[in-house]
Amino acid sequence: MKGEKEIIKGLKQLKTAIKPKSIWFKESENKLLAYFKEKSFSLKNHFFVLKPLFVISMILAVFLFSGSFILKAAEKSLPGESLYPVKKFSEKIVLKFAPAKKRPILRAEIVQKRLKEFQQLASKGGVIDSKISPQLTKSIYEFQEEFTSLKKEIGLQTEKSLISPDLPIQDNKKIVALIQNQDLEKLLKETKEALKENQVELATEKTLEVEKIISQTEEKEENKVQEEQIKETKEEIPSNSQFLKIEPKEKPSDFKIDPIQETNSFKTDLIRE
Amino acid sequence: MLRIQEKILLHQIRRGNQSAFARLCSEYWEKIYQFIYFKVSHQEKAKDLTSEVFYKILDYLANGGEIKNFRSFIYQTARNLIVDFYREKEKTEIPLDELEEEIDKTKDLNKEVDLKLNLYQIEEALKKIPERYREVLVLRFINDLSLKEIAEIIKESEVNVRQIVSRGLKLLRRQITTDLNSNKL
Repeated sequence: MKGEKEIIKGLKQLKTAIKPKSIWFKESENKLLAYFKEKSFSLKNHFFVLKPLFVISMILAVFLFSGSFILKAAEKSLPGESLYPVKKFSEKIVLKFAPAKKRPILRAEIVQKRLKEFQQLASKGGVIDSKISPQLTKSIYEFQEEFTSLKKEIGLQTEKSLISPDLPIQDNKKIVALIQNQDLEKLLKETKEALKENQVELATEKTLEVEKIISQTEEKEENKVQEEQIKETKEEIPSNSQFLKIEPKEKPSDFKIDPIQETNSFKTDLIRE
Repeated sequence: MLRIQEKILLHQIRRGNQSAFARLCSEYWEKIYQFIYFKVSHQEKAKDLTSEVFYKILDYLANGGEIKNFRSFIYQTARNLIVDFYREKEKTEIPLDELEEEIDKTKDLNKEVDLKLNLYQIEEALKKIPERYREVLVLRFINDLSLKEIAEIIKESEVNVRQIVSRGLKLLRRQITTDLNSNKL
């Protein structure tokens, strides 16, 4: 194989070695151009040549025009709406072609968007009588996904692994608490600003604070739930102290311990062991 | 040059644009010359045939001919002219079956010959290997065409082209070794 590599190298070098003289090329070119002038090129096939190019450019123009129109409309869409996939797709494309340095910032922006969608849906009636709409559930899932991606992106830069607790999807009250938490929005904004300033360590800290808020929200809500349960339990039981007093049971008067029997059973137990 | 660029140039040529034609000439002139040179092994003949290729293309376009793939078209035009040239000269090719045996023999030559090759040696050896292999090696390594493009020009599958390249390199290597050994003797 070594020999073949040399040969290939040699063949490629022949490209520069075997060249026609430029004088000959110029002379020949002039003759050809003179011949070209003599020829009358008909424009008969002009359209047929142009047509594919024309069609392609029209399709591109329509696509670009309608595409930009659709993209603008999609910008305002929320999870569960028909244009939402277009919005997500355009975000993916932007991320894909973004330089590596800009990607964490873009991810942070996307997380902020997800949070806003989340809040918009909640205010539109995403939580009604402790029932969460499927749309809001989807929005929570989207937020979680994007936040995880953001952490991964930051983690790549700092080579730290960022722990990811699950968002409380099941419990409605916890979700409401999360939406209402103003610190979350503030921290996400600060994360993005830190990434813009290339302060990755700071961005990591902010991300960890966001996680802390999520887990604290979860804890608070769990405590609340427990307190409510205790309260409900107390309300069910009447406050009559008679029922709360523990009356001692009557001792059985005939109960006697037979020492021999006791010892025997003990011995048997020992044998068994 | 991208295919879309070539299409645009062809469109301009049809409208009588000289500079578009000049642009296309400068793009392919050298490559076609090199391709033909290694086929006919004669400088003057290679020059004549190269010019002829471009005249033929001009005629074709002036008569309203359509060219979908210019690269493929120009090489095929060159090949056709060379076939005509060979017909006149009554040259013959070694049949492929015989070549198979030759290729097998190269397996015995496992010596790591220190090939401090000069270009002259490669050029001379290249002229001696069968045309089919020579043509593909020239298109691949001198004209820098992809396997797909070569396949379109010589009307073979990409797989076959790959095999021809591989066998061609082996044959060339064998020829170089033979030439070097015969020079030493």
